[in-house]
Amino acid sequence: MVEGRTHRPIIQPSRCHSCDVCIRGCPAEFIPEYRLEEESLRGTLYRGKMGKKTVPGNVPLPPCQEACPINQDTRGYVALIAKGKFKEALELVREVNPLPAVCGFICHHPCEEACLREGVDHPIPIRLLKRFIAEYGRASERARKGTKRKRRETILVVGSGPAGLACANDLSLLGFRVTIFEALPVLGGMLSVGIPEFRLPREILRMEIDGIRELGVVMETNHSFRFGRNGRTLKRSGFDAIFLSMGAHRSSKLDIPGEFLHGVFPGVEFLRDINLGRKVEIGKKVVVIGGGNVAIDVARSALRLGSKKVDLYYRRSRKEMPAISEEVEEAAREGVNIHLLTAPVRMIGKRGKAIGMECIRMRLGEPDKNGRRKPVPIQGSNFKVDADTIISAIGQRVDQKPLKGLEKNPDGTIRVAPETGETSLKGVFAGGDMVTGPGWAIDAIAAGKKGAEAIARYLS
Amino acid sequence: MMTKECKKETAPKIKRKTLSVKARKKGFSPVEYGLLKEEAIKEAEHCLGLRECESCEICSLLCPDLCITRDEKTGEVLIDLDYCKGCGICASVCPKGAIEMALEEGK
Ligand SMILES: Cc1cc2nc3c(=O)[nH]c(=O)nc-3n(C[C@H](O)[C@H](O)[C@H](O)COP(=O)(O)OP(=O)(O)OC[C@H]3O[C@@H](n4cnc5c(N)ncnc54)[C@H](O)[C@@H]3O)c2cc1C
Ligand code: SF4
Ligand code: SF4
Ligand code: SF4
Repeated sequence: MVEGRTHRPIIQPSRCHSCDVCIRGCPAEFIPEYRLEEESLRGTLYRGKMGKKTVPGNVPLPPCQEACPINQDTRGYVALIAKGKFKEALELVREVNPLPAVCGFICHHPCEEACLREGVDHPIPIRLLKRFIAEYGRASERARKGTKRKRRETILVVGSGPAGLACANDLSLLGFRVTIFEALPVLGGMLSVGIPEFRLPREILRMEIDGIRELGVVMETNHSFRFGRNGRTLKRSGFDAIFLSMGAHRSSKLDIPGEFLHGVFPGVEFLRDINLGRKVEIGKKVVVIGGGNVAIDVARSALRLGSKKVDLYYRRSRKEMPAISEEVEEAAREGVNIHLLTAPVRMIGKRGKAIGMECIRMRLGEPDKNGRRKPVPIQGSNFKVDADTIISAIGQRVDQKPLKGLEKNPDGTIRVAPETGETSLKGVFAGGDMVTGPGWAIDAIAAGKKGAEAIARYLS
Repeated sequence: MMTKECKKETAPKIKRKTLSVKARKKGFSPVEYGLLKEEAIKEAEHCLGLRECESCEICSLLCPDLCITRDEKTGEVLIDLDYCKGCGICASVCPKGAIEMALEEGK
């Protein structure tokens, strides 16, 4: 019992938001001996400290945090920014997000869509704020967390995209030894061979990857991994668990005549070649097919490579375009002509080389099972356009070759247990685009974190 | 006072600052510019969350006696008065003003 107290604190439940701040600010963070006390109340309290995950259902998270796949404490770091505490804000973000700067540049920001301030004037520019603190804190030391090797097990992460990086980061923080195999000569997955440099500067990506490497993660490029037929791979590989995050890198086919003409390329391959510094052939009149990020990035890259006229054809309307809306606007400003409700019918060639494309106009019909309205061709509305380069970017699939022996869904994605992300092989987990199909970086990060958690549980 | 409220007056959406379209054609330089320090603070001040809680996690001013905890089942925040020494730090930092310091009987 304490003596000499003059005032006593009384919580007023009607005003308390149960936000946890008073608890989380606990000085045991600063006076480590407190944590070790076996008997005392404060020691007990510290060990019982709650994480975000245990927030009971009756205390709703703010909408921005709820909308975020990794539930970043938006309100918390925005408040710190308002007070000018940029370093602390970044630390708060880093607690759950291994790639804050990347998110600051390219996240599709579901938090902003959920932001309640929208009703007052406009949503808080959460992505830009995150970018600001990440760039501001660039020079400053990355907060080093205890990364003592507490565990003997080694884990293999296949693929160095956001899912793989997040998984390696979290496992490493938990004390495991982690090795990443990356088939390509560069690290970062689609962040480095998909998204063009004008949206995500490479030194930013490098900085984030270096931060993860500093935790002791071994990263081997030019090392592609293959699954044996019978699932004995895990035992033979010498790893205790495997996390697969190989993404979806094969362009889907249009299945129309003329696709094999010279001058017709798949979108992700085109971007990969640019990003790896390979030479790409591009004409003056370019046609791009698709309405996602890949299509928009291809069109904008083509303009930068000297094409004079870039036309993009998408079969639904602007509203259904999956690309990030700001980026579509930028593309239009740069001079990409966006043609909606138009689909290709065939490519026209001359002596084996593409010279144009025949299109047909579409209208929107009934919504499909995802609620997106299905485009229906308008008979007799065909027309032709000239082009010397045609790039199709209508989606990506998972490369099946290295994945023998794993159960898959009909669309080629890997089948996993929804709770843990474990595949049909014991000890082999998967996440990211290869499970969901092409998606968003932050969802891949969330999947990587979930995988790390599940692997830790599996090995305990 | 530690408590900070969100800016109530409305403000126009900040205009996205980008590289000029002409300069973009010259290569793959970054298109979008980041926020300046002042802009970041100004934008952050509009977060409605500031009215309810600041989630001021790093605050070193909080309970030196570790006697505040939360019932995980109900979400209720509890203070163990057997160990609290009455410094009042919690009350002064709670951005919601949800802790009140009451005079102890007989003092
Ligand atoms: C052009 C483009 C633009 C995009 N823009 C955005 C955006 O603005 N915002 C956003 O949030 N998301 C965007 N995305 C989506 C985002 O990049 C992906 O959702 C995300 O990168 C998926 O992460 P991942 O880790 O699952 O896979 P990936 O990033 O695809 O990484 C998989 C990695 O695994 C490697 N790999 C594959 N097979 C093997 C093997 N057998 N052995 C070893 N390594 C292997 C691959 O080489 C690759 O590096 C974009 C995607 C593209 C293509
Ligand atoms: S800081 Fe948050 S949790 Fe603590 S009393 Fe105030 S409102 Fe409640
Ligand atoms: S105002 Fe927006 S950013 Fe701030 S807490 Fe509410 S939803 Fe989150
Ligand atoms: S008054 Fe508040 S800060 Fe001080 S010891 Fe008690 S609970 Fe902790």
